[in-house]
Amino acid sequence: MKFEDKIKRIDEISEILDEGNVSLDEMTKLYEEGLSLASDCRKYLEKAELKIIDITNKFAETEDEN
Amino acid sequence: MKLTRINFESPASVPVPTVSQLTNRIRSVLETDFGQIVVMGEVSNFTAHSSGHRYFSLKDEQSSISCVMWRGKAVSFQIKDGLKVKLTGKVTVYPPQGRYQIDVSTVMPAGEGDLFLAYEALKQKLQEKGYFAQERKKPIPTNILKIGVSTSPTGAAVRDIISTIERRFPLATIYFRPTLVQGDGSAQDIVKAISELDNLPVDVIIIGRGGGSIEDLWAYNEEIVANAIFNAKKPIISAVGHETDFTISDFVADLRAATPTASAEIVTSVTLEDYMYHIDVKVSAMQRAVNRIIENTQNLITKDFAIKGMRRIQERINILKQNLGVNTNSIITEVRKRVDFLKAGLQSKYSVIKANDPKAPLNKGYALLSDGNEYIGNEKSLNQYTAIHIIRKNETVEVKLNH
Repeated sequence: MKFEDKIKRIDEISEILDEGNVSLDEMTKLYEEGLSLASDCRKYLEKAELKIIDITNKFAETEDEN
Repeated sequence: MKLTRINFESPASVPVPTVSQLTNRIRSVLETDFGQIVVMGEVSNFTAHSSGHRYFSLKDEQSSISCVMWRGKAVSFQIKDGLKVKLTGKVTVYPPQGRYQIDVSTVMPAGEGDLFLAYEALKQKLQEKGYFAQERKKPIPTNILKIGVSTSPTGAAVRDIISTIERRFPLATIYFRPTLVQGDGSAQDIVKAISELDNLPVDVIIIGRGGGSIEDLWAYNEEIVANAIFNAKKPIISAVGHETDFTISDFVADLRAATPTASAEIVTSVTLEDYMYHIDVKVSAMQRAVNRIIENTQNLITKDFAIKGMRRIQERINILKQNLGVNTNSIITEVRKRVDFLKAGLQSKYSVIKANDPKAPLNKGYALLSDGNEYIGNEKSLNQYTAIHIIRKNETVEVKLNH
């Protein structure tokens, strides 16, 4: 599951729980799923590292001063 | 006719210089005498060689001087024939052709007005073509993960953009296209950079550079750059120079950022912290919802119990009412009345009993006669008794009777 999908699922679970039309069993399952996704996402964010892909133009002259 | 004899032999003491030697002497004289020069004139026969060197002549009405600008010398604007320029350089000699020329180090437009007029003319033309219309501008997405960046690899701009994105949203991927941002060929390179980035899976493209003079920023005022921005499929943010600098690319782009740093802030409108906060908010919402569900369930159970209990009590009351056929208040009143009545009856009986107590006269000194079992009333004669008991208040004596 991708990060964005996890965030979407967290939003979804929060909404379902907020509506409150769930049994105690369902509620417990959803709540556990939500907390576990939230923890995954937090970890993912904490170790995020910017990726830089260099698309170098072979013919470019990089002699300018700026 | 007089024939002159020409002596082809030189004197042994004076060596004949070679062409190169002579040329070198000429060059030395020119370079030493003139040194660094400044000259103004009109460009003609401009040629940009594939090697990167540029050749042209600088002329006025009467004269013309060859000029060369070596590869590696930056030009801050597009050199064209007919343009009046002021250049700096040194006078030197090009030995293979025995030609003196100017070795150009910098070239500037001679009149500030020239560039400004060109800028205004293009701006008006593109405005009329609808290039700046807000309706045709693409919205900048909010959840940006892939960012195309076209700027110089050596300037502050690229550092500012990268550090800002890294600080705010390190989940992003930057597709960096090092780009020539000023001088000859820069406009063409920017156009290529836009086209390359446009074909990559980026969400948005930033084109830009750090601050500089109007000449430095000139590539972003070129029509080919404006066209490339206009035709791009991806949204483009133009971030050229400082806040006060406006270029054609700023007007055509889907969004203008005041500075390269500002452009990086725009593409990271949703930051990592925003995501963290979002997760926190959602988790709190879940906790609240769960608490509410549990509370509601508890209430439901309690309420159910209470409703059932109340119903049972009510039923019993109804049964009792039916059996009695009266209401409870009147029962109580009735009971009280009867109790009072009985009390009154008892009181009067007690008085009667008290008034008829046979021992009452003893307190006054009277005595009672008894046969030992019961009192002897007036209806009985003492003749029939041989002995009687005389009962006084504090003593009882037996006496014999002599008949």
